[in-house]
Amino acid sequence: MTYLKFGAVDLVASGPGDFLVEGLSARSGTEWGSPQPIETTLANLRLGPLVVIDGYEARVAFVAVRVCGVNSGALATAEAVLWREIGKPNTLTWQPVDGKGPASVFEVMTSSMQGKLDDFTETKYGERTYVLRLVCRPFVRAVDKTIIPALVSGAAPTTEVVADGSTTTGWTGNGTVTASGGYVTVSPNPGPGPQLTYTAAVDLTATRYLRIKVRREKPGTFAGIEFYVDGGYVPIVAASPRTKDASYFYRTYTIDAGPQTMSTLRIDCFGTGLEDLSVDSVERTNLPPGLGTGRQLVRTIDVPGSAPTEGSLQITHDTSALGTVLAYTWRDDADTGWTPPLMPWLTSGGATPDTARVSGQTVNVTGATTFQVPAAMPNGSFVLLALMKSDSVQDVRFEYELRTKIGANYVGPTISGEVPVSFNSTSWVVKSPTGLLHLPTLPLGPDTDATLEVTIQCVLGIDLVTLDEAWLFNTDIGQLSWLAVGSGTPAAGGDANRVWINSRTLDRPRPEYLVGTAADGSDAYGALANAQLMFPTEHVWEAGTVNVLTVTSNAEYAEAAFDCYSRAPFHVAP
Amino acid sequence: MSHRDATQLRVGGYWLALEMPCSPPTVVTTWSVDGDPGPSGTFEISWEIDLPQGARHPALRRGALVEIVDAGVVLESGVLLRPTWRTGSMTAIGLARQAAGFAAQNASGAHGTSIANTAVDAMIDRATTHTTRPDGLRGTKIAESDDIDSLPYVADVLDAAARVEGKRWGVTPDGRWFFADDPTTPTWLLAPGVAEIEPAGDDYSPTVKVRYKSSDSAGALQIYTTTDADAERFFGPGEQVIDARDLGQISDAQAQQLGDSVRRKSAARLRLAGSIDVAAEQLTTIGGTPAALRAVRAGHMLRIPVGFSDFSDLTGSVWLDVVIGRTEHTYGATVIRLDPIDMAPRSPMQIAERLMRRIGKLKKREKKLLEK
Repeated sequence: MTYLKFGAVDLVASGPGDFLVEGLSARSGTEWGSPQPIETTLANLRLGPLVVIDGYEARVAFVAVRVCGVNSGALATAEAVLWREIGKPNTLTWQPVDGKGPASVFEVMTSSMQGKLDDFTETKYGERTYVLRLVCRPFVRAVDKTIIPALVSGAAPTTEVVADGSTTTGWTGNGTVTASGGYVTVSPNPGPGPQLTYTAAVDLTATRYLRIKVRREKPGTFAGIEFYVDGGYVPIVAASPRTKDASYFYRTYTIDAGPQTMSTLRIDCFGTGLEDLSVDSVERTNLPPGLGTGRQLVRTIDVPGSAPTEGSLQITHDTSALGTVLAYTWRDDADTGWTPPLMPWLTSGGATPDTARVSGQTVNVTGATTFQVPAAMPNGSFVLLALMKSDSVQDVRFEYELRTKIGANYVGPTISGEVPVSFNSTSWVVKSPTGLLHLPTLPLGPDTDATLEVTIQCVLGIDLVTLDEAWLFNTDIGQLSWLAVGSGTPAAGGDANRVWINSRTLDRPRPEYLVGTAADGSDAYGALANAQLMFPTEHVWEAGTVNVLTVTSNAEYAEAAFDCYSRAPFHVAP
Repeated sequence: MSHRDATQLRVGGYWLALEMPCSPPTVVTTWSVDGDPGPSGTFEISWEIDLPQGARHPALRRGALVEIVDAGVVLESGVLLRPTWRTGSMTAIGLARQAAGFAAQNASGAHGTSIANTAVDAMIDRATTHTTRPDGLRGTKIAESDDIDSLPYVADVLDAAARVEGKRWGVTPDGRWFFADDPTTPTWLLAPGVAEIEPAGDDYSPTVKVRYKSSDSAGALQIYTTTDADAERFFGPGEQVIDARDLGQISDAQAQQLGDSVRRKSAARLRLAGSIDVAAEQLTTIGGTPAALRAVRAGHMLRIPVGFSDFSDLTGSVWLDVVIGRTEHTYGATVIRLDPIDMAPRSPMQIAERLMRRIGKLKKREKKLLEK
């Protein structure tokens, strides 16, 4: 492939017959420019200002071009060929000359061309030179989209134990390996960190996800923990919130090993100190990680590249309409393991199991219902959403109270309120009864043991109100899309089993929500505001790990797939 | 919308960000205006759109409901005024401000009314005002009879009723009419050294006298006097007269309630002069965590550390708890302007705005027969 192409014009050796267009080197003025940050001063502190980057300006690239022709007519034709690419959205593709690095594409928003008359060169050599000035988006992208497939589930849910931590058989490590109390432990010697390897032939073709429960002796942590299957790095697709007791930290990780036969599984905590690492159990399963039932799935997406990008999140199910769809994306830079759902933290009891619900259970909220949520959560403004059902058409008063508890004591201010809520039908419906809640309610120490006690109750009604699931969504660090696409049989133009959530692009500078039934999008249509699209947002896809929570009230194990262009500031990495 | 802000504008049911480029909105909220107990809540929402010359959009028509929504929660709401297509600037007035544009009528429409509940219910029935009244405002008459014609607009009835009750009137972001007391506990905490607020003596009067026709004394003219003795001793005497004779015959108890409420709320107090421009890092919740500026609204109480000042003379504490009377904030920006309630106007702009509002009200009241 050519190494420099502008639109349809190959700038290496272009032009049939009479003329040749050549891009010139940096010495002649070719320059790719740099992304220009827009800096904002947030505050002037005593030791200097606090500056943040609030976006990037357009980047300006220059390409010096020489046109050669047999005569002035050919030169003019060449000029016209170049000019056709100017002044409109276009692309400039640059492949580094040794062919090893992938091609980078500059997305040109508009462009202009400067020429200078040099009649001597023109007459003697039959050449003209121009400089193309390309106004581009700040980051370059890859030529092709990266597709991150959905985590697929098996037809019949299967979970099997691979190793239960009771014996050291099959386990080796970079130190003494012992088994006690249901844990296989390694004391690393030498370090720089603990490493455990399990060797056995395990058939994962039907159960591709490995769920590994680990424990780390304090003050070691799980920072930078990595998993390798048969020597190959496997990214983590989900991690539970970190729990702890007096001596240890505990966490459960899910990795997608792929449908293969595995012979070794290695767990590395390199560079995090010499404290012991233990494994409680390793399970293989065909179920992607969820919270409650298959109607609420959580996973991480490794957004490729090194710059923020625009992407498309697709939530699909082959046969069932999706019902109420919530898609919440967030980055957790502090790695607290926080997730929005509240039902896993129910403490007031009285929950009735119900596999047809999102959380797998229901609870009567006509009485006070309490949740003890770990208070280690990203700071910011939260909204409380609740999926509830009323047994009759009625108006109730929704009362809520949030306060922080450390040990047995309540600390800090209490956030409380009461809001009238109307139920106009007896179907399951998502309500957003509170205003913005600032959480945590007071600053807490790192690795805090505090919990946030959330109490809700629906009073003054005439009939029962039942809660399926409630969520606390942080709207400062995360983005929520909320749709209602029907629970009947999927039909073209009617209830949908596929939703596409597309970021803004240059051609379409606003987010797009499409619903449909055909996998190729042939019957997709824009989700209707307020009938289907309950709340749109602009999802932020920054390079790195982005957490995704998907709730589909009518479809189990709906698949969430993602695709985007990998973006970089100067050159796309392989 | 700023990329850091997930809030969305919904106009007439359409999500504007999905239809056209639009700027982040500038929101003004109020808690009582110019000494009147209302309108409180969202006061104004303004933003700009970018459509090609000549293009129109069906959502943007006068009277459409405008809402600012964050993840399904309505933060502010209003009614769109006539769009200015040439410049693309759009303005919506808060739902509570509609009360100044509807007549106060009883349910049958034959007469005016002096019952707040009736005036609001009849207004909602007659026109789509995007509001409901689930809570009681005041169910008893303010004036001599239930059907009185001296209070022409719903806003006048609400002002009179709220004054008697000593409350503020307005509409919540989700469209509910309310009468509410001022808060007594602070929600926000300001960093020290940010605010320079001074007490001002404008309109100070520790004694309030209500002139009224007493229904208990067969219509005799009486004056009810009430005095805040502590304030008078500290800052000296002064009197304010309220003429309630236009209400017809009212009971002694109601005159007393009116006098006491006005004295407590506005007359026997030093007002504060000085708006505060606050940056996001200077404002925290009362618990000490950073505040999202879009959640700061008029009607919340702000705790300002003042150290030793005029105020510690009165209260003995080193902070001042101020009810926020007005906020102005552009979403995505890092500053917000806060005015204390009943702020004494000082800058030329503040004085001019106050004057314009007063003149507008007077003109409405003085409309002669058949004159527009």
